[in-house]
Amino acid sequence: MNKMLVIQITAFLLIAGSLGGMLVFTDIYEDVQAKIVETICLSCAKLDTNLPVEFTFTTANGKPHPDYIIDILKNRGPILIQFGEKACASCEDMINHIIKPYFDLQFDKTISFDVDISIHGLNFTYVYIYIDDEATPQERIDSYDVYDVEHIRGFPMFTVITIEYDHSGIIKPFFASLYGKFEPNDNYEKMTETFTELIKNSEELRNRNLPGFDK
Amino acid sequence: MRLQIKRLWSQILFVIGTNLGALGLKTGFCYPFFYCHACPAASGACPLRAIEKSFYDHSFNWKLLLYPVLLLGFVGAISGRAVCGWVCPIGFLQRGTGNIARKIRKKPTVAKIGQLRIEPFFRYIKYIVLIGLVVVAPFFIKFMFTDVCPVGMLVGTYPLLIVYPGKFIPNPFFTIALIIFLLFVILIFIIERGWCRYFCPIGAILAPFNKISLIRVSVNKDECIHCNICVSVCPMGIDVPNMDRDPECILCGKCVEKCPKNVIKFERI
Repeated sequence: MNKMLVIQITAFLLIAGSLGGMLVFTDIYEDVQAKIVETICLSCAKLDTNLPVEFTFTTANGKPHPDYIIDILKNRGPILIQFGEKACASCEDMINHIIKPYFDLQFDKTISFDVDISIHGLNFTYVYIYIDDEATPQERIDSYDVYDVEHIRGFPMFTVITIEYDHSGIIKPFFASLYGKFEPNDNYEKMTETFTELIKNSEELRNRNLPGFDK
Repeated sequence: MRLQIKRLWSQILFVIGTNLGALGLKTGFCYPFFYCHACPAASGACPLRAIEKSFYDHSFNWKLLLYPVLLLGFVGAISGRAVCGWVCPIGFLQRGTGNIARKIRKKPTVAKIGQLRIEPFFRYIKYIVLIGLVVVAPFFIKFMFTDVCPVGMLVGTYPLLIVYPGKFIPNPFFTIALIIFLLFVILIFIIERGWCRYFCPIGAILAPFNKISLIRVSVNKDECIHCNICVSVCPMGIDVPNMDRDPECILCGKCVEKCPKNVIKFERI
């Protein structure tokens, strides 16, 4: 009986101590909150989205566009951002079947990066933001909330950003966000067409409006 | 207040607590029971999702593995599988379907199946699901239990479709998950606590803690008259008079309440 009691108390103290230690000395609480509770892995939810692509000037959380976006728009080109997370089948599907083959890219899907792309007559900057990569700058992770126009916190999410005159005549970043695999029935041809059309239009808008945007 | 009424209140309060995300409370805790963070109202994370992420695609993240296991271990070290009986919303759901399952159990054919010697072996399925679909499959083939989880379907997928009408459409996992979900529904209607007994991976993590938990149900075997009333009321189908820290016991207390000789008791340190 005494032996059992010792085992019980020891096990309890070990577990409670380790758990307390983890909560105090690691960032696991924030990690789970930001990367599991506050996000939806769309493939885990067994869903894709069925949303029209609509460009807007208004950021989803009312905050200004991040500096790195402004910088790329001014100096490099229109932007295609892909937001991805770990253990997300749709994110992988899009990388392996669309992004890598169509844009002729080779990269490690667990590392955030950005690269200028010139292919299929398109010139743009591809920004990959992997929220589970600890080296990803916080500014890039936070930009998810800036562009999550539908407020669904779903992964993967793609955002196409360019510049355009708003109603007051000022040139501002102009963007559209697409979620999941954004085309039903795994129609890969249609997906690449959508990307091409969106990026081509974005490029035209940027080329036309860049002189005014620089000022 | 009767024990079962207390348990009912506990389950109701925890269902509310589990869904406080509807009021904006999104915490960084993993639930120590079965619930899906994809539910628009969820206030915590599914521990299985954290474990899957820790092993996904030949990777290993010790923090994401240890955190849910320690949380479950903390609860388990105190009260074993009591969370299954007193807290878990899916347990609560099965409490509702249990009456129908009990009626079905009385039918001769079903009773015969229940008496099959092979039945106790079915209880090992949940350990296979835990190791196979939550650890091994995500590691090697990037297929995850949560991709087809019937509970995710019930509390995540359907509520998302309702809360955001027209925004979502089913993806290829939907059909497989729907079939599993229908089997889940049939299961909980024909076998009382069928999900907890045979398939729940979280039950599989908690079950070993019954062996060392500070609170348990104990039977005074010397004074037991073997009337088997406890066996007939046990939702987990345990041979209560002969149990000793049974890993399947969810500490619901039905046997404690019904024992005519009061030889079954809750015992704590």
